[in-house]
Amino acid sequence: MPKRMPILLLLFLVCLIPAAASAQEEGKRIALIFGNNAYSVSPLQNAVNDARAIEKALRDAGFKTILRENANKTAMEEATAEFLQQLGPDDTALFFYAGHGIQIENENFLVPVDFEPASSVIQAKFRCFSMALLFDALKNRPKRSIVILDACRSNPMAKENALESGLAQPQNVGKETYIAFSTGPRQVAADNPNGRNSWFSEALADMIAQPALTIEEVMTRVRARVTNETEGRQTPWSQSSLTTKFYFHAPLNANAENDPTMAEKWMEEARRREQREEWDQAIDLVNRVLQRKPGGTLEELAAADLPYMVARRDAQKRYDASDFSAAAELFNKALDLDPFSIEAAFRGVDSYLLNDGLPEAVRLLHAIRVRGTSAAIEKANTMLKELAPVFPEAGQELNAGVPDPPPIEQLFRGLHFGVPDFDAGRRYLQSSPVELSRQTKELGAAFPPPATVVAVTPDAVAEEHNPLAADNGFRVEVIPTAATRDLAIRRVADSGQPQEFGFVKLVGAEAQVPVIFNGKAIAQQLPVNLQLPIGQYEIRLIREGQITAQQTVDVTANGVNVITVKP
Amino acid sequence: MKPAILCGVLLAAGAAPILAAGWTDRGEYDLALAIRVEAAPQKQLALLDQWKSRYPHSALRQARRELYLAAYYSLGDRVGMLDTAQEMLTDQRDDLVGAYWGVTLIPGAKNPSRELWDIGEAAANRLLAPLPAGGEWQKEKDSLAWLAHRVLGWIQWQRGNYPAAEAEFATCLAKDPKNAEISAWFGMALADQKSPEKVVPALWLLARAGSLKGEGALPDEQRRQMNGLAERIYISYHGSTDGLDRLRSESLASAVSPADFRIESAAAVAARKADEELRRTNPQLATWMSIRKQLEGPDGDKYFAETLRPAPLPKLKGSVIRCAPERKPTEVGLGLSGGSAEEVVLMVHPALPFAAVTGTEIEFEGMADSYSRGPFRLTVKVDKEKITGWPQKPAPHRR
Repeated sequence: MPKRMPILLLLFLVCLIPAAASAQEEGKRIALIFGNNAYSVSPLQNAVNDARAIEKALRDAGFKTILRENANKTAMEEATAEFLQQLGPDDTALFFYAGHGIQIENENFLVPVDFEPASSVIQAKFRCFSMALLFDALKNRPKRSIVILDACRSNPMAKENALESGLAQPQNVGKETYIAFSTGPRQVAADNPNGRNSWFSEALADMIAQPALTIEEVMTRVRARVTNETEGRQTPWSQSSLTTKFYFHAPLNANAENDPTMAEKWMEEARRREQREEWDQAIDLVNRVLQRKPGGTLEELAAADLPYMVARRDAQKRYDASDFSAAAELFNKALDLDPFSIEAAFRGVDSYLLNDGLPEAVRLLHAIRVRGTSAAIEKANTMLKELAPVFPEAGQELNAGVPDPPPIEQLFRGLHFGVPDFDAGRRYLQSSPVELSRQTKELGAAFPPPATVVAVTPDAVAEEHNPLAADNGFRVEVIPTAATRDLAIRRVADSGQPQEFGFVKLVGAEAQVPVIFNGKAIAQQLPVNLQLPIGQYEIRLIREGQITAQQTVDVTANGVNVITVKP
Repeated sequence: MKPAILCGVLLAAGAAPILAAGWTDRGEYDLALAIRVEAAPQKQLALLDQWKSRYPHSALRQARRELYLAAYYSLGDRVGMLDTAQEMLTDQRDDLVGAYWGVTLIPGAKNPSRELWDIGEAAANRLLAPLPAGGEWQKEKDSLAWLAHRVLGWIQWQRGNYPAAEAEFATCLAKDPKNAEISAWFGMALADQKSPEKVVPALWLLARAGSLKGEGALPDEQRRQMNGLAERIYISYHGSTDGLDRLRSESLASAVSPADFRIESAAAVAARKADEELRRTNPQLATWMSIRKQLEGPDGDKYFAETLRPAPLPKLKGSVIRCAPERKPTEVGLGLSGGSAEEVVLMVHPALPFAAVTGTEIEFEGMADSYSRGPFRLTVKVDKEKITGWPQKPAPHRR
């Protein structure tokens, strides 16, 4: 096996590679994600799941991802080198780590899975992955860096090694960097042993997936959710030196404050809240939509959703208070408002059964069989079977068979199949201007700045030698004919009478082209406007000593001759 | 053949749905319902992909595409939306939902192709054709026609078919004069032609696109872009930014430039300045240049008959080119513009005492008698006494 290059050296070499090598106009998004569970001492349960969830969310957000699970120190450093190597100056780099982290002498270190208890602080440092080194490597490399550490978990390793728990506030961080910790510096985060993911990573993956949120908005929401879910025991922390907004999923219009699609985003968020049965928040969002009066389908949808959500919220409250009679009526009302809310129907069935309302429960089970999924129908059938011995109508319902599902048009509220959502189209046109950068650039190039006016003096006319005659490049030569020369000589000899001039404008793409007047270089760049004594001139285009084109022009008083030069 | 295999073959071939309302089976309905319940558009897309892969030939595939459109819309995924619209139109050329989103999205498509433009053109024409009788379609009729002209203008511009693009954009502006986006596109299409007569109306439109505020205005970034472009073209054409601010404010008055609107070209500015300079430094030459220019112009005869001939000419200066006859000349050929060509012939009365050498500068006053255009020549009757600078004695004979 070939001997490996020391990893620190490799990282150092990567830092030396010019970052411009992979420059792109819009920049790439590249993420390095670690999830470390498999520690010999104090293994974790969720860090790998966290890394996977974040990797998926980032991939969906357009990141190229490098995921490493249960990485030892070598694997962490190799992956980091691979990550850094791919970064260009227009790129966004994201580093996510889930696992144990420690602070040693106010410096943060991530713990690889092969970490062994150290006999000294120095030894412990060398056995860990240094965040300081990572921050240093990220400086001035990508356009922006995002570092997220879910690494502040309760950590017996720290105790064993007489180290402090939690992470230190990062020092010496580069510009355009966003740092987030799952909890505040020197505090300890929970791994959420009863869940698949840590509180922090679960909320983060969820929020990253949402459109039109800046990273700050993502973190604010993550903070609120984690604080709420941990009953205030854990509050995620962040620090930013970003000077521009960063969106995981860009809004339709980067200027979100004036975004005409804001109401749509609130409605989408309301639907997410609805899915999680966070009724108060969902109702609040729908009310905001209605206050904005977006009109059209969106307003119709919000107006239709609001009473349904209120009914669901109230029903749940009554159910939780064991007021099953009221709960049943409210679930029933919710089902009337949204006949496809199978969940409301089942809860209504529960409530009716708890309140001895068998006929009503069977009616709701019928509704489930009309509109529910196969699984819901199966569940309803099982309930009907159980009810049949005590309530014959349940058996009749069961025997009646399952009706065909309703047409798709009934399924999706706010969507009229075969007719586009014209309001959405209008909002789209307002919020998504057509990109014109390419056309603007091309047109701008086609209209160069006006030619510099070069006044050619009679002295130049008299000069005969041609210093650039041997030049092999491309040039333009302006040669006065004999008539002009005679005239100029006569004028020069004259007694101070004003000279009359005309113009020869040499145009073409903006370019470095020497313009030689009678052997003397008078301009180096096109376009140029030559102010010449009136008379006849020959314009020659010369490439490598050969005349490639020539044209005779008569320069009259104040006349303008335009010659297009194609180098 | 076993029934299960037969069933699979039928599904793959896009057989008639087994259930009512177009559902192939309960599984398809389950997927649709799962999409309905799902709030996250990314997850909706994953479910739609499942639906598409399991039921590629579903009778509900156009409806499914509409759900794709909604999910992509939620994500702001322009490419996904346009691909879907294109798929809808490929499957069913007159699909109105596909046509609507096609015409909305094609301008500014990242990787446009001739095929896409053809699809866009067909879609636009579909929207311009009679629409379904339903209330919503009829209510949107005008805005759909506008949208169709917008995309047609864009497509013709991209194809380089400028007259057609101009006509489409003009139609759009006639319906919505404050639409800065169309002003910008129209201006760019005109400027793209790079012909001097198109530059001035282009500048008007670009200045307007960069100046309009409020409803219909461009976003700030694009306003800056248009202002930058207008300035560059203006400087290229006019030579400086003089008058650009005035153009910007005037352009707010009408969607397109008035028929008599002019911007002086850089060459005209240079000529005017040179002319002003000449009037300051050599007023006699400037006067002569002006006379000659008018005589050579389209109304030269009228100018000669009504203005020049009835009144004495101002004092002019010229250099002698020839005298005839050599002794006691009555005819003197003069060059007035500095060249060797004879421009004025003086008919002198009484005869001059002797000829002057070529190049002798004299001043004269007289009455214009006749003129010819080719070669240009003005004949002037002059009293001998009205000539100054004639030599006092004949030139010595050459040995």
